[in-house]
Amino acid sequence: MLRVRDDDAAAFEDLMLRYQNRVVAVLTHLVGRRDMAEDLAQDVFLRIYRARHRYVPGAKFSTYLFTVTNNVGLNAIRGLSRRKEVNVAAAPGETGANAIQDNATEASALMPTRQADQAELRIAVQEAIGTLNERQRSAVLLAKFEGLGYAEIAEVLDMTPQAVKSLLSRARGKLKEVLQPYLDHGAKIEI
Amino acid sequence: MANNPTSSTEPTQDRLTAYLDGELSAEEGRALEQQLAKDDALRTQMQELDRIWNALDELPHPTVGDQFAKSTIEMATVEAEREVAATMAMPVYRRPMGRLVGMLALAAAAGFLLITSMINLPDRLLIRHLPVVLRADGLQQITHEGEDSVSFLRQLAEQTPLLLATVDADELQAQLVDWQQVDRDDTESRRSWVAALSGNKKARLIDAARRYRSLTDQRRKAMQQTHQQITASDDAEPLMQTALAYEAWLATQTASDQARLRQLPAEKRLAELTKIERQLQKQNRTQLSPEDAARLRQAMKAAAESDAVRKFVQSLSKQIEQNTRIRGAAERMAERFSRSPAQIILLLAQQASKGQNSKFRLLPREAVEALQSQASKVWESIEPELITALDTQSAERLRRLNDEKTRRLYLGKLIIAAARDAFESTDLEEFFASDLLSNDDRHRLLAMPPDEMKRSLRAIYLKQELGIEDFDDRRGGWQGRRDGRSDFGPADRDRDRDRGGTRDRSQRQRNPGENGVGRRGQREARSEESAPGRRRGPQ
Repeated sequence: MLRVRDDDAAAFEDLMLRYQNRVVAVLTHLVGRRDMAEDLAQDVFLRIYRARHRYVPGAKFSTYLFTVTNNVGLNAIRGLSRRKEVNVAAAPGETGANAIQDNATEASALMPTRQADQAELRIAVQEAIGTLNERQRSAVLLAKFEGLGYAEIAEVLDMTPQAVKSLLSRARGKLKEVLQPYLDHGAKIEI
Repeated sequence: MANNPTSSTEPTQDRLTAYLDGELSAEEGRALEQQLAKDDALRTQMQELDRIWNALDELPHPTVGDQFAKSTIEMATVEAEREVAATMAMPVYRRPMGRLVGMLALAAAAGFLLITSMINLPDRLLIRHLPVVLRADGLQQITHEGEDSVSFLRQLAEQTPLLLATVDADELQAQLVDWQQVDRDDTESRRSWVAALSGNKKARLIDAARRYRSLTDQRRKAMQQTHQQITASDDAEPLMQTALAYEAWLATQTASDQARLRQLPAEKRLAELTKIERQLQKQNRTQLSPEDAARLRQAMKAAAESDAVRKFVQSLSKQIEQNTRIRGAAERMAERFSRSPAQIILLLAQQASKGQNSKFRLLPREAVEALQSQASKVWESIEPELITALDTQSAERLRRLNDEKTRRLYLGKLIIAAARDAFESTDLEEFFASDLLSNDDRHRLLAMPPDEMKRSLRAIYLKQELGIEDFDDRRGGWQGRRDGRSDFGPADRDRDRDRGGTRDRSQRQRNPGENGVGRRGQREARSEESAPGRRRGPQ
């Protein structure tokens, strides 16, 4: 990032190639819309680029990047909520706006049972993620996808590590609530 | 099992979560592990949490295509360019100093981003307009609002064949093949074509792309239209060749000349270009094929050995002996003439036209007049033979010139062209070392790069000693107008410099030296006489 700050263009490209898929993945699940994720990710990188001269070394770059990603994602969610395009905190079965989910559902009809189970599990997980609030979702995605520690997540979400700890704990509890029946049921089918 | 009492206690779940996330301290971790070993329900709860967490692995990990980084970099490029433009547009006192320092780097970065984006991930827009981008410079020159570019190209091909022929034919053919290919290619093939380009070609394409981008939408559309009209014509290939040749010729001109031509309406532009064509035609008249040059040299040798010429040389020697009393001068002159027949031939041509020559400066008027009259007759006898030695076309062209002086001038140029080697080697060396050249001139020449020095020295020599205006077909392109007006092409600047050298000298030469002999006369005498003390002024 220091190279990007000093207008090293090759560094910006390196940086993009290294992080683009990760940023898109986080945004896809944070916003719940794959079709928007790329545009948002582009926005993230452009913000990084614009602000490159203000970048102060010290903080880990990934923390900085995901802070921006999180802000962009949350803004998008708020925009969508205002326009009522999606129900972000949708209850299970109500997140029909998700393109991936639709595809998975359609595809599952044609798949062998085992793969169908896998696809259903994916849908269930996505629905479960959808039940989390924004902060919980961010924290889960950063911890799960990015392997960020509590301190880093705390920095991204602007809260204390202790608060992240309980945030993640509550998020796991909620995920468990939603997924447990499915997992139990799935386990029974397998037997 | 989900209803185990421990699971409802949030602090326990926090600890379990932190444990699973590796966020407990060593001490806390050990304590929890001890608890887990004893408490089945707690262990089950932890396993469930872990299983739920692992289930999240099922979430899809979307990936983006190449185009994503490409278009993002493109956007960043645009941003960077805007930043540069915005900062540069600010009044000087408002520009943040720190940012000013980084401005060049920023501009460079913007350029680099574009280069990177072009090289690695060709832009959709550029790929779509690749045939236009590839020839953007040329198309821009021939695209004018309300004008028919195709008709302009046809007229250009008809009226300026020489101008269009100044371009390397192989290079032109290669460009034509490329242009036709990218025009036919689909998007994928164009991408591969760009990807396969060599570094230099890619860099040139990127430059062209940058210039293309800097144009307005309207202008770009007009250029696309021109391209469309050219390629859709029945005579598309000749039109493309003309456009390429014109573009290549323009590239040899200065930016301001290019701009001036571009701004002219088609009619005036054509007029300007045909003027240049005429210059080229003139210059072309003084071009010789190697065979022609050999035949002309042979004819010159034969002429120099003819009785008439021998007699003239004898008369000249006699006059010099009598009038200057410089011993050996006549012998040296005869020796020089036999070594380089071109010199006596040129001297005859010059004297037949009653031209000035340093050799004659020391002679009395009557002697000069007698010699000139003799030279005229000798020239009349040898000129037809020299012209006959040329190929039919050149000979015919010369014969058609009714003005004797002009004819001699052109023939003189051909003679110099044929005898170039002699002028380049011994004579020039001698001339440079002789007193015919002032110390100032010598220093000025020595300060020049070797090629330029040789050109300038040659120009001075030809002008001063042989009375011939310099021309040099190896400078490439065509030369400036004789009237000295500003013209296209770098050759003009050389010419001006050469002229400057001659002008300086003539000014100095106006100052009379001791005994009423001009410095030029003194130098001439010294060059003819190796013992400087014995020189004398005219009688």
